[in-house]
Amino acid sequence: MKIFVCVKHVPDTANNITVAGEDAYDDSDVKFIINPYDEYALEEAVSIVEEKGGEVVVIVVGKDAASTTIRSALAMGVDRAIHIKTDSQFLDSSLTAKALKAAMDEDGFGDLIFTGKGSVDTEGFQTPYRLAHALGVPVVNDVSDVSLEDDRVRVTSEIGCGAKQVVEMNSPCVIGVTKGLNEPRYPKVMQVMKAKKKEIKEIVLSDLGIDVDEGKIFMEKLVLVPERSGAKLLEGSVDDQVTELVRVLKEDEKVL
Amino acid sequence: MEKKNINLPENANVVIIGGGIIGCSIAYHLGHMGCKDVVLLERDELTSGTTWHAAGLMVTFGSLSETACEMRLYARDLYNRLEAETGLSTGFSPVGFIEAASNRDRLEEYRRVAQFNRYCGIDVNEISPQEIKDLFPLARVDDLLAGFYVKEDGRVNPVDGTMALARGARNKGVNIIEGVASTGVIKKNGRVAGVKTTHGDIQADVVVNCAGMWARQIGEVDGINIPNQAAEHYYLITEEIDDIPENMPILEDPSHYGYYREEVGGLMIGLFEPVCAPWKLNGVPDNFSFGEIEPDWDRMGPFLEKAMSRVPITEELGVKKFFCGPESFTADLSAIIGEAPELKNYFVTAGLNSVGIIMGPGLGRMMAHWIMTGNPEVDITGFNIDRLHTYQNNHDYRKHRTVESLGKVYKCHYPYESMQTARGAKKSAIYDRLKEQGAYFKDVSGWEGADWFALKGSEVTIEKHTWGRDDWFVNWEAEHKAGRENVILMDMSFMSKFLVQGRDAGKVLDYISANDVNSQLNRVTYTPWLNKYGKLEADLTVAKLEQEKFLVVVTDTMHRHAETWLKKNIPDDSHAFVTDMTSAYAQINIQGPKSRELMQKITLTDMSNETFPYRHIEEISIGYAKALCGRMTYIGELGYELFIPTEQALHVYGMLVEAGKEFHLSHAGLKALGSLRMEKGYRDYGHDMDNTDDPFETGLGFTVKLDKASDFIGKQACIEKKAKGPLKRRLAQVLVKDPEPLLYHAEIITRDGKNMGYVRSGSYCYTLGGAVGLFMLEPDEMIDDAFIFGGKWEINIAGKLYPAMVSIKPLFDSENKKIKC
Repeated sequence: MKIFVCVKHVPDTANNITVAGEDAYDDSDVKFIINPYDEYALEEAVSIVEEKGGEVVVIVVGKDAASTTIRSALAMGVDRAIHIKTDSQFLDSSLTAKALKAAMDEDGFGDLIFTGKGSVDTEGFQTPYRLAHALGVPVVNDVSDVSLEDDRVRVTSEIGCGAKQVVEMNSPCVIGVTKGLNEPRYPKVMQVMKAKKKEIKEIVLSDLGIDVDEGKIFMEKLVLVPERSGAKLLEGSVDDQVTELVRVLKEDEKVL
Repeated sequence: MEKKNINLPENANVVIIGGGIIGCSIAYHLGHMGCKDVVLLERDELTSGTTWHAAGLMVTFGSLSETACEMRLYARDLYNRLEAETGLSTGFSPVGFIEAASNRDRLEEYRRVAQFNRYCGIDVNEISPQEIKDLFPLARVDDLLAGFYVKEDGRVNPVDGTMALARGARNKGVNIIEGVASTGVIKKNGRVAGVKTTHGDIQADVVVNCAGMWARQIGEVDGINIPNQAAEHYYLITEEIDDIPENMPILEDPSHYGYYREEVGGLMIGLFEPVCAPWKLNGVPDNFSFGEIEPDWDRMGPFLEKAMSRVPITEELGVKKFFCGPESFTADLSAIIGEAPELKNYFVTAGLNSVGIIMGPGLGRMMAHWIMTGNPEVDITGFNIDRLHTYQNNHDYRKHRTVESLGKVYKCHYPYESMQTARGAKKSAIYDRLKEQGAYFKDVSGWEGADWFALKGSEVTIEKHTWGRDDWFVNWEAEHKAGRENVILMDMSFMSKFLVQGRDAGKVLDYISANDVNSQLNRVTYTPWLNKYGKLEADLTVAKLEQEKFLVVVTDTMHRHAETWLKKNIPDDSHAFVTDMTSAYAQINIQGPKSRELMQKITLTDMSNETFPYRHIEEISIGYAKALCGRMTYIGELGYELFIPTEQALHVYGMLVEAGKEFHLSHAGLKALGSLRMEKGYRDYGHDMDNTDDPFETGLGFTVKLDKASDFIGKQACIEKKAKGPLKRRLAQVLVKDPEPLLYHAEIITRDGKNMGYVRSGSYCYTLGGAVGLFMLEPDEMIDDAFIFGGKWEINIAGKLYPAMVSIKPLFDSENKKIKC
């Protein structure tokens, strides 16, 4: 069995981001990680192959620096990697899907394709659908359980308000996964060291015949979320607190 | 970024910059000492920068500094009781600590440390490998020799500890403000007048830079030299271990680069790798508050594998986190603390070399004391900011030295090992000649100082460091003997030399010096400089060359301290000017019984004892050169010190060597200088005496001229000290009667089994036939002949007792016959 896992190299949400120019941020001192949802995808793919045999190939569309994320994925037990190199952190997800498809076509048929349900940086939640569309295969997103039976795949997906639906589809298919699917493993040091020797095939985006200018979605402007003003704790008896609250609402905040 | 609505006070007594463990501890202690109007500015949030990711080891074992040992004990105690005071737990957990010794040299080092630590009140016990296994069952102990176990040590949560200190400070009225960054200080008349911030100015008398890895950049804005450098520092956290043994102590094995402790059911492995990586040489980004550095697995892999092999189960565990965060390191692995020489009332406490949590409480207490009273009250000679020079702030210097300094933390600390990186920064005019002579150089305040000379035809290297006798001890012995019996040449160009000139120069120097330095022309006077408490700020020589021209010569380590002290004590209306002549004069010392004959060969000046007596100084002609020649000695022999214009140094050196042939002149290095001065009992400030000592206790009472015409700084304190009667504390020499053992530092002297003090500096004295050290004898009773000769003296060296002899008078030539002949 051959499984593709599509992974994104994203800034850790714990970072302080400094916006640089209109539409970018200074990433020189920003720590990047595997997109957390993609970790579930990696874990699922690696466990399936451990059980059934085969290989897991990770595909990353990203800048040069994404190699750290690729190494992390390889350390989790992925066999080899394809790195589609881009110049920018932002890419229209239709182009991302196109690039992923092109790389898969070049690499050869995959039985399953895992992605995370979305990325924590741009939060577009588009790629699984666009990729499935490009490949002409079924897709289910927000998946928290997967079971395989021959070429049938049964998945449970979250559809909001705690409700779930169970869907069966044929493979190959695209499965966008979410939290709860599994507990991603921590690689051992030895695996991290071994991962350094695993193959990473590098492809430049334009070599796949993709022109970034053909995208339909562009980053126009990047602004920081305004800082929240501090909470104010009211002290004293309940009466005092209520009086003060009314005063603050009337005089300071002028909402009453 | 949008500015928060912050009410900044307009005035403060003290403004602390930086809300890490250090800044919060200073704030806490200032508050507790009753200092009013203290403001702490934190650029982002408390603990951001380095404190938040500190490992939190609260270890008292390991230091050979009395000051540091006391501070470590204080820290452990404070973390223990802060919760009761503030209601906030510091997370202190006394799980215990074990230092593992995996080879003979480490065992020797830790036994020496353990002996000294016990003397300082730290309850450390040597335990067997099996006992290590019992306490830390996950460790492999088959190749260990012993462990050093402190049951009461443990760990603290650095964030909680800092927050508790901050709460304690707030309770005492300290104003802690987050989200405000300092952008520089306001200066007025050479002193601090306020602090500029992103939210306006604060008028303030004192500022304390506790900005951790940003301290250097913040200092630079105001021209303050704070040469610390951030470096990568790693730890790894494993996933949980099923049935992890409970209550495991912290285990440290420096030979495997690691320390190990439990962390949320798994293990934390901290690393101090031998070759390290400085980070952000051009400056740490402003917003790197809780940032992490991408781990360099390629570089760290081999070190990590070695560290994990000590606790093999870690090889089978997943890595939850391989963390890399920046910590600040300094050129000599000592912190940067004290009042900046460049600006009055600008204090610094930074560059903690990974021991901020351990040292923070004690340093905070000390700084609070220093700020409030002007007196630190502990020995600061090892970490005073003024020991550092501006060239050490250079990009290249930091780049090269930091590679070595972090790694030094876990190296075996051999006694005679010198830093190997960033070398060759300063070379004397005769460096190449000394090299031709086979000099082995060591780092002497950045200068290449000849330590010893190889015998003809042999290699000038140290193959392997040792705690025992090295191959080059024979060279050292030969140089020592040549100094006693014949004549030696020593390059002392690294000494700090200052000209003090002007109509009031003599008056000013006489006021700063305890000795009478202004009476006689052409005379050199050895004198201490005291502070108003009557304690030693420096010791040095003052030579009166002309009525209005004086030469002050100070040891290399005290260069900036002495210069600052001198300048700061010249009254504004005095006509006295200081010029640093260190680079202008090379200094060559010609010492030994044959030195007069040799000098007479190269000059027409009459060198006889009658016309050129001890302490005489004058300019003489040597060949085509003019040199200042003073009859002085630091080895206890007839001898001369030559101050030669740098450009004429090679010429004079050539003449000395040529004329020296018939006297079999030997080159001698700093090892010989050290052993010769040690047997004569000459003091070395910063090594065997410091700012907590007074001249009487250190045996320098003869230099304190209470009856001289002028007043001097510290006079009142000296009068009071004398009035107190016989001394109960005196610097003494100790000689090991067995010729075999060696003394380095921190060996314990006992009288009738009772601790009397520890060796502050030691050497091997070939004339006396044994190792000799200087120590502060503190019996808490009167020290008279009956006391000295009445007891059974012994010295504890690495846990073994040896018979010893103790003397207040110099063991060598106590009547000074050799130097005055």
